[in-house]
Amino acid sequence: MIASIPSATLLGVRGRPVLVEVHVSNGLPGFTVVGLPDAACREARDRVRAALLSSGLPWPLRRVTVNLAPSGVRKTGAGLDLPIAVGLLVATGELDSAAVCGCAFVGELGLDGTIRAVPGVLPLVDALSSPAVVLPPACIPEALLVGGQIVRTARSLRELVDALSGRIAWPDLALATPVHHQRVPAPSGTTAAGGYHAREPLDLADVRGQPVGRLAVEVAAAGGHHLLLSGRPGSGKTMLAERLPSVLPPLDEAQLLETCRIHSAAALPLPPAGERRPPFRAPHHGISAPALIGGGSSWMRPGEVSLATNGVLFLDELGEFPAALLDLLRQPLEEGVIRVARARATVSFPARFLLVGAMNPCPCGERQGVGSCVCSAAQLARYLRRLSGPLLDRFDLHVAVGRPAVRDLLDATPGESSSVVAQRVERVRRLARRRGVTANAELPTASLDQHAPLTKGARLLLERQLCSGALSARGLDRVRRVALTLADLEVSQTTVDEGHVAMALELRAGRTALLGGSREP
Amino acid sequence: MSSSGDPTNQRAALPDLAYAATLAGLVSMTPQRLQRLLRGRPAEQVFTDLRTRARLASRLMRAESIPGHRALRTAQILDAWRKAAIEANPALVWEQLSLSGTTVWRRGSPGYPARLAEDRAAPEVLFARGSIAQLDGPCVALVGTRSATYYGSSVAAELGANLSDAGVVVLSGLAAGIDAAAHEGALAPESPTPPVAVVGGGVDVVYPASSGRLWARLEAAGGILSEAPPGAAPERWRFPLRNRLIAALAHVVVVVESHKAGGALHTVAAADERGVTVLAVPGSVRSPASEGTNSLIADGCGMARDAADVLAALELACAGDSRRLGPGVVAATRASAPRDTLPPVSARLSATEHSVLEALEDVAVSFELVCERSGLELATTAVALEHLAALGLAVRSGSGWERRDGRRG
Repeated sequence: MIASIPSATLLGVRGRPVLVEVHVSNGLPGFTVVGLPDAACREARDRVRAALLSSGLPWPLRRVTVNLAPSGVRKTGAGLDLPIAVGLLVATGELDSAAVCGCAFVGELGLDGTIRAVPGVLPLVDALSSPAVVLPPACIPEALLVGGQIVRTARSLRELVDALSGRIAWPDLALATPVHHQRVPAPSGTTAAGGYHAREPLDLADVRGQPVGRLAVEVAAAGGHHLLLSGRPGSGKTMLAERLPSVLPPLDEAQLLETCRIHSAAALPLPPAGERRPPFRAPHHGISAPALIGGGSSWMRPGEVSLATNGVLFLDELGEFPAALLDLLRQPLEEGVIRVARARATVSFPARFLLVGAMNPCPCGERQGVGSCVCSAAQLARYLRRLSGPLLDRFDLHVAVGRPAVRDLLDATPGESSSVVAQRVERVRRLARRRGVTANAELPTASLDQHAPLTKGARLLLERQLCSGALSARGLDRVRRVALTLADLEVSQTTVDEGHVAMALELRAGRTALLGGSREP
Repeated sequence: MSSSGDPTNQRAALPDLAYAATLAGLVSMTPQRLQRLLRGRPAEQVFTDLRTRARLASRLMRAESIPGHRALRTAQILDAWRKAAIEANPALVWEQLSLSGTTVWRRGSPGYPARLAEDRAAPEVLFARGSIAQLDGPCVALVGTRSATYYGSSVAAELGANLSDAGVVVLSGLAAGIDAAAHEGALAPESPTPPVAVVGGGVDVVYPASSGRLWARLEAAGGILSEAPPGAAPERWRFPLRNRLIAALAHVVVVVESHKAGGALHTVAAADERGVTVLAVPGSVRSPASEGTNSLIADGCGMARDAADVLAALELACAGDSRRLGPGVVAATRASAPRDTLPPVSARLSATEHSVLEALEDVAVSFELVCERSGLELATTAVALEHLAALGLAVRSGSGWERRDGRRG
């Protein structure tokens, strides 16, 4: 009269095991779901009933109580339909309890008994400890990424019952050919995300001229330095930023799994097999706070900062983002995680990304030091106030991108291609790992002297900058890290010399151009 | 003038200035309206008229019809004035003025700047903080754009310092950019003649907020002058009026940098109307911030290359003036006659530094362009630029680098 079926529910990007207990007893016919189900979960009753009846299975005219244990954790989504149905069949004696022993179930039921896909199968399977799991056919490839468990599938409830009771063989996993477009429709608004990488890989060779912009992209990729590009419209800021993923090192196994897990939890398409390029997320400036950092009213969905983990978060038109939204980025930039606290739960999402911002130097876009800008001083001040000082401080690289020269645009010889740059980037990342960090930008201040010794000339130059007030103590460390990356990019360099420091200063000069810091005589 | 005993006890003894200041502070009062309202009449009488015999005032105003306003609007304004006048307390206004150290003058009262009193559009009431007595001496206005380049700011500061050293009162508007630089230059601690600022809003309303410190220094060392009552917001329409005051007070107006159709050209127009000499500082033909000044020169306006040029023009301008230039000014004019030649470029410069220096201009050149012109590697150019900056020969400006005159270390 009682059955317990293991399953799991999604909380943020982690799965949490849930035990579905079904109790059938005499009394007035009824069906109750208890244990903090959300709306989708409570509706399971109607779906399960219809699915059972259309599969030719009996619906008990007795009192049914379903408990989702642990009762204190909020259960979301329709993934518990299948374990509830299976539990009911076991509790009514339709299925032998031995047949479902050691087997966990996840899946949504259609009214005709079909088993439908659910989001976040990867983290759900992670959370399950049972030796075997039964999943919707469309979720099989995701589940296979985890490994270690017997994975089974069935197309419909009828097929599942037959397979469980041994009347037919389990359907072949390969036969349950899933295709990406069959997946559950993603929550509204994510269609723009399309595939994992919507476009063909872009190559740095397409960028004409722009030696400083190219160098900035290379340094950002090599050292993991956050990059802010400012410049007039049409100067190629977006073009440069979009090519950054092409020079980043490919994802390793652990990173790929993490990225898949986050995308799975967000119900977004996973990277196709063999795809190792880091994710590139470019949210529009109309984005809401929960969409950016994660959260949501019922479902704790990972936000753009988490989706960009191990890759690039590109904020085009940075000056158009509301200031409050930009300041939300400060915690993830500092700690690599974002903690979203809601009344019912607090969830930590991973958020380690390379931040790339692009913005016009003023609302009309034409200000370039002195130019044909038509913005009033007040307009400009309002525009720049959106970028808080602490946020601007996070950008190690701040480059004012100029319009490329006409000659460069018409020059047919392509620039250095991404693959060449990527090799140098890879080498610098290797050097960083030898120093115990994944990228130079993460080097702690204390170890800078050990890893980035300065030559006499470099020290003199930095001293001058500090004395003139052009550089703050915090800025000093940032310049030293960028200078180290520049030194690493050269094969034979073991020390940071004057050229590296001068170039590192030049690579953050956009800051003074934007804020007009050196206007005073 | 501000101290005339305890005003609260001697209501009858309240000076006329207290009523004038109260009238100036009435809602929707403008300098032009105040001029029409007062017209040399005792302010106390106008004030009581406005309070009690509104009809009389109304007839006065209608007969003279405020330009640009229909009669209905005039009646509305008068009504508002009457209400405000009934609520206003001249004794309190007077007390607040003396407590805050603000001086008030009425046109024709002793201490009112003599040069301004002769002007056709002279304000009826003037408010000041600090001292403005020096306005009786030779006076040069340094005006220009708020979005100045490094070049413009440094020239303004240099002119401000040198003119002030020569005993000339530097007059400006205390706005950002050229105005601020000129005041900074003129405020050097040893300067014998403190500068004066003419501001658009009230003398106690710091605008722009970023120049708070400069404002305080000017109040302490020089003077701040305004025709707007204390507390008046720096509204847009006040600035062209402010420019008119600057033109009326100065013997010579120097435009340091101005964009095409910049606000400084209002001052030039006002100076032209009054026959005040206008000089312009020449700039690069490529710099938009010098477009206005260069076209002034093209139109036949005199050139101000340094303080000596300005002093020469000042000597001419003051020749017909009843007040003579002080001996200091004359001496300075003579002394600075031989113009400095270009600074000797230090022989310490290396070949790469030379070629980088040659790639620079007086307007900002982007780093990439410097590299291209000098034909050097990015890092080599960056090092050379930092060296030049250390020698005072280059400076980071806007989105690039600008050549800098080595003389000013």
